[in-house]
Amino acid sequence: MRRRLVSDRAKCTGCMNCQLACSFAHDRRWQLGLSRLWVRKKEELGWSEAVVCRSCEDPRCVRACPNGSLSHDGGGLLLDEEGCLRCGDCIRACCCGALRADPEGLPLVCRLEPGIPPCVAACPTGAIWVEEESEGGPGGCPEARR
Amino acid sequence: MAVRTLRVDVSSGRIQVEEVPEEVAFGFIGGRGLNSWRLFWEVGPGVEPLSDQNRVYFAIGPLDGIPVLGSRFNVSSKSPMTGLLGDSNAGGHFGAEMRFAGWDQIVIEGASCDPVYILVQDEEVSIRPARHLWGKDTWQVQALIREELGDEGVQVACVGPAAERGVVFAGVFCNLVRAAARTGMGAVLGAKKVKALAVRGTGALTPRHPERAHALLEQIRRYLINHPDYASRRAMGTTRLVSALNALGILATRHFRTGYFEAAARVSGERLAAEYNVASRGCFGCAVPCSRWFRIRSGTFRGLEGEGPEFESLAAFTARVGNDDLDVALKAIDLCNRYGMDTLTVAECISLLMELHHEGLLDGSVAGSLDLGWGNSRTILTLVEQIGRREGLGELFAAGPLAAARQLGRGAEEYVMHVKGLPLIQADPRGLKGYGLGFCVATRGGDHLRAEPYFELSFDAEEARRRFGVPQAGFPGEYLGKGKLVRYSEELCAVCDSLDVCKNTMVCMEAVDFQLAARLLEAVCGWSLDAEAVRKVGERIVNLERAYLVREGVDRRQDRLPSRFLETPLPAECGASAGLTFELEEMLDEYYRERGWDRDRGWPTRRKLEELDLGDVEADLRARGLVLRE
Repeated sequence: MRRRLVSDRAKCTGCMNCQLACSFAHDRRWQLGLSRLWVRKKEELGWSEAVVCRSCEDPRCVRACPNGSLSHDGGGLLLDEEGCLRCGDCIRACCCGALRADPEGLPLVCRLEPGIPPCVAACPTGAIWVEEESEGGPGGCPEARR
Repeated sequence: MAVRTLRVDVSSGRIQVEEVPEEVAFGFIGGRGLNSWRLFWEVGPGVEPLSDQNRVYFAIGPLDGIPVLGSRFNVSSKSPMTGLLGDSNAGGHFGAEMRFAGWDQIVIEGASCDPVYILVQDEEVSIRPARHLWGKDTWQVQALIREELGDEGVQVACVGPAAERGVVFAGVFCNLVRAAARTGMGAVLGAKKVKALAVRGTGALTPRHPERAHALLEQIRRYLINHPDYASRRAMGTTRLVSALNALGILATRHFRTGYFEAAARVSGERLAAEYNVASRGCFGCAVPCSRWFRIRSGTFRGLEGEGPEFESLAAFTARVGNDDLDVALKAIDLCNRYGMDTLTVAECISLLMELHHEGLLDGSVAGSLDLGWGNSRTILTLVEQIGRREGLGELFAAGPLAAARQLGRGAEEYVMHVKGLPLIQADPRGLKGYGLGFCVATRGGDHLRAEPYFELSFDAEEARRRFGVPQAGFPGEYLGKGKLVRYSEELCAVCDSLDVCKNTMVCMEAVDFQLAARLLEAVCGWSLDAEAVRKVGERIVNLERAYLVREGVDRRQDRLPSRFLETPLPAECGASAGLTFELEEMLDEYYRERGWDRDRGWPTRRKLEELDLGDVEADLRARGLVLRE
């Protein structure tokens, strides 16, 4: 079983509850720049969407890491903070634009712990959810598959 | 967590930082309270609202930036509409951005020769040229500033062309349509040649007790989601009130000539939701995102889209002006937003003109070629444009509907639907006694958001007796208990505006009372105030603001509604409200008694101000020869 976050632009209201919940869950404070997902907006067009880590099966960000500090397992990404060079290669490689750096340059990786993630729980419209795919389902990068 | 004020003097370019004394932070909380405190001490009688001496105060409260309740910000100044206390607030994302930039209050002083905008990026503050932004509408200003900074995340509070031209009911706009529109705060910025305040913050809000704060907010989130109003607020926002008030016969129609609009179903929130709305939008952090994105799919205005509208704007450009064409109303509201004007006041100007025409009180030359029949689409849109540009009849209305009526003469002044110079909202006080009393005593003039005594629509006799001592307090057509209800509601609203969260969630949906507000302040800020201390902050703010009005010459005589409501009953078509008038005096007596103010002038007593630690305010009034009773 593979799990990944999915978001729906049609349902997003741009309220930022997902970012607040994510930063609070990780750092016990509300800071938009510390969340593992972020809300992209085109205000004049009336739309917004949560840009989420899609837990790719063979993630480019992991492949881009020059020293193996970034890895992944069945759930989300794992970062070895000690080993991380803060080079930003993973961020540039991310296929969905979800990966960002914190103010110190460390990539903000989504661990996607078991259970309902805080961003999903906080979204008032159900615009983010966890999709579960059984082994042998369509593989590769979900963004590329679209 | 220190409370900080940033002062930007656009005359000299001087930028200063001040820490707000702890007793002021605890005594006024933030937002509206903090603004009113500064306004009282810094902008006194004799200051002309559109002069360099006036100041504009932007403030947020300690709960801006948290999830669940919705973050707002207040803009306050001496009002060019009323000459009294001006204050207005808005939602969207600006308030939270100020929090993350680390500023609780930003004061704009002086006046610039050339157009400027103020940019605040965390600790970095600059005054930047805005000649290229001058003349641009509110949507354009925001887009241009974001483009020039290369940052979609910068939040822009700006004024439109109306403010530049000195239209006194120009507001401050952010996130396209989020408006601090009432009392003319945009006009004051326009007079200072300040086109916008742009803020970007990358900081954190770190709660003092994270687990406690989280638990409280989750409890409130669950409460809101399970609230009986949740679904309809999500679908329609406040526009659901068009049908609701019309059913009660209190939807202000054709300039308050009746409370029933026969075409309400064609311009209702239900119709908007079914045929126009394409997406849901929300303010920062709100658990009940109630805003909507609409699109007109066919007809003359096909392709027009935008966020909103809310009830007041929608009802103002339909029922108030007698217009049954929803597309025209949406277009008129869009124009008001882009010119940067208060929709209620613009609709008051138009419906006033239509009524004067209807009554034969208008000199034929005033209207020119315009057909002033009720609801004429072309007239409505032409007048909005003229007012926004200050051309044609816009010149007449630039100083507000009251000043226009005085100029028109022939008794037109009696027809202006206002209290203290601020036009009334879209609910008829004849069928809403608590709201009517709230209009009369509101410290910013004829408006419902100072009191929002929503409880009077509960129709719950038992609960009314428990809370306010008499069953009548829970029924909109009854008088008894309304003094007590309005007093309580004013204090809750003052606290809400000072925490700077949304009245829909906190007050109308009753998600946070004084007790819970105290617990939130403790968990988020580490402030140890109990429920009574928080209530007292609300009472202190109301009294300080009343003292501001007293200093400007207000007494009981100005706490009145237009005589129409006292003399003319609502017509037969108004159902449950048919035949109702408004009797003010006994309610005012009850209200002043509840407030501890003197009965004949409606001034706070010396004892009351001292009890609220406002002895310095009493001394200020006394020094000016305004002697309060014991």
